[in-house]
Amino acid sequence: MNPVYISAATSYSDEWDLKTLIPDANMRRRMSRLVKMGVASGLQCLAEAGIGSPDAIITASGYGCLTDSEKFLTTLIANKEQLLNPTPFIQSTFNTIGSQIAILTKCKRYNMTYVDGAESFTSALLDAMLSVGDGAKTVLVGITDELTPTLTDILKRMRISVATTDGAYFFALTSEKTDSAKAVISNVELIGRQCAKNSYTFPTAEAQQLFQLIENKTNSTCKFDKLKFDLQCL
Amino acid sequence: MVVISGMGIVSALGIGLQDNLQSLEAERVGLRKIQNFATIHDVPAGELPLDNRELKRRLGINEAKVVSRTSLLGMLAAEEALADAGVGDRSRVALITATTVGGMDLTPVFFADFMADRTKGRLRYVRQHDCSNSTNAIADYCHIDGFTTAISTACSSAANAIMTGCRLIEQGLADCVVAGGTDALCVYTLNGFKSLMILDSDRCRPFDANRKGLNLGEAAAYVVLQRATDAHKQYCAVAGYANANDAFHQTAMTAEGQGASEAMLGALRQANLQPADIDYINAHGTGTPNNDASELAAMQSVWADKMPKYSSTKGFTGHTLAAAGSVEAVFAALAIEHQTVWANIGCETPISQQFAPVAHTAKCAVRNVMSNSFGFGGNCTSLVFSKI
Repeated sequence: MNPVYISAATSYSDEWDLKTLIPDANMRRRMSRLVKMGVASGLQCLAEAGIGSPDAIITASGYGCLTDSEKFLTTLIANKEQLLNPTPFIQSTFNTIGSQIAILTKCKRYNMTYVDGAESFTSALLDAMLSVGDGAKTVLVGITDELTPTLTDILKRMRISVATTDGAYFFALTSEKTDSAKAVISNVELIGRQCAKNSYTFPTAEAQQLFQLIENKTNSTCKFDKLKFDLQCL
Repeated sequence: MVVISGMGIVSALGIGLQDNLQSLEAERVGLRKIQNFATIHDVPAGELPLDNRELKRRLGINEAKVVSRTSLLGMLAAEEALADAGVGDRSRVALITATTVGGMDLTPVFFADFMADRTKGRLRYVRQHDCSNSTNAIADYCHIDGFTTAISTACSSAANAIMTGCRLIEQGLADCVVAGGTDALCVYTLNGFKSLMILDSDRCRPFDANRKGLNLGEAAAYVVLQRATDAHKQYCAVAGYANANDAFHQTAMTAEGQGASEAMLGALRQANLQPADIDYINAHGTGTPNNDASELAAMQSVWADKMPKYSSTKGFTGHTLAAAGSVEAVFAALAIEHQTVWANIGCETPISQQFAPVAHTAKCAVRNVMSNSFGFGGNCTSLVFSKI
């Protein structure tokens, strides 16, 4: 695989002005916290990279839209399957974030969503590199996961402690080196399941690690679950 | 060239390739009233005539073990596909599986108790909620040790899994990939589609002028993808694929089906084929007013007045959501293998008299087949399969 450049990296911040990033008030109102975090981070990342509409939008989420799923499920059980509002069902679809970013950037090109637990982001990153291999010049790739009160309670009951915070991490990848390029990824290798680790990891952990390496300009051989590559900061 | 070297399928038409083929040939519909879980909704669905206990028995899994139906269906179909392809050593085989349901068939069991008291609810029923559980269950059962992942782009998921599998092979990252999808019927999805008011209370009528909506279904289907030079068996080549987005609305397609025509044109381009080279389209054809009108408009924008034979097989199986793309990829490959096009069950008064879908399963020359899968979120994927 050819080297791929990272021209912007974002981590969701509560301080962003969502009204600027997502001007449509109705759209904003319908979005759950997770969808808002993901869409805002994706759009912020594209803006920082100076990309209007990318050649590919690739999103990941280990747990998906838990708040919306929980809302729909709670009403379903409480109302005994009657008089259900479809909005949380619609928004609970895993590809909601990728789809909303496509609508907001009028991007009719490649659009994909990976949902493989702690390895969701790795899969999305691999697809981003495959997309560049297929001719994409600009790719938006990211993960969004939310630690809801319910997930926190359930993990606690499973005796799993979560060390990280939730959030959204997005990266703008380009096939060519740009002036704003922050890092380059090369020597990509796939790792089989046997080598994958078994301990619990919150799905955003690897994206967070990649974000921090880039922020701190740390060169590294990243050995993520199922994917190994060299990261060189520029 | 990437070829399909093995196939496996479980759907309302039966367990395994042979049962599914025989049902398609005999125009035997798999829709029935839902029996495997309690619901107030009296709608037809493409439900497998086997309960979880019977599925576990066939898989050699202890009956007492809690396993999501999504995983059970997936294990059966993926193992059939690998055995069909004659892949013995699975240490480097990759798995790309698609699902929208994941463990959501089990989660409500946990949640009903949890809602009342947050210290209650058996954890074994929520442990499988996230989609990676079915990925790992299938990989473990089939002894797959290569790269594995899961895709969820609503109703286009499995088509995207097949596309990703091909790209992994073409870019030299894998030699053998099992790709497809699995989705079990469950009360959550049933109510979701009910709340959207797009379920037909009778059997669905894809491409009929008076269609009222879709029937849900459950299924798992996988294809084994290999380079032609590595394959023992070759059903057909995956000649082209394209993924596009309608970028219009979360649950509705543009009237002219822009994303759909982008996907179809992209797949033709990649296959290096002209529209006239396509002999048969296995359409997405869900039976909803919006999908079928948009899809037909998109097909007409590509083929104008020279439409190839087309049909939706959802009148047989119901809409199997994340599995639909691979169920229909299997039907497309069977169309090529048996030189047969499948009936569009349920259409009495076609939307377009001039371009009516295939009325009955019939023998005919089938060299190139297009398979369409479109979903919520505007996700549109088309695949092209070619006779070798």
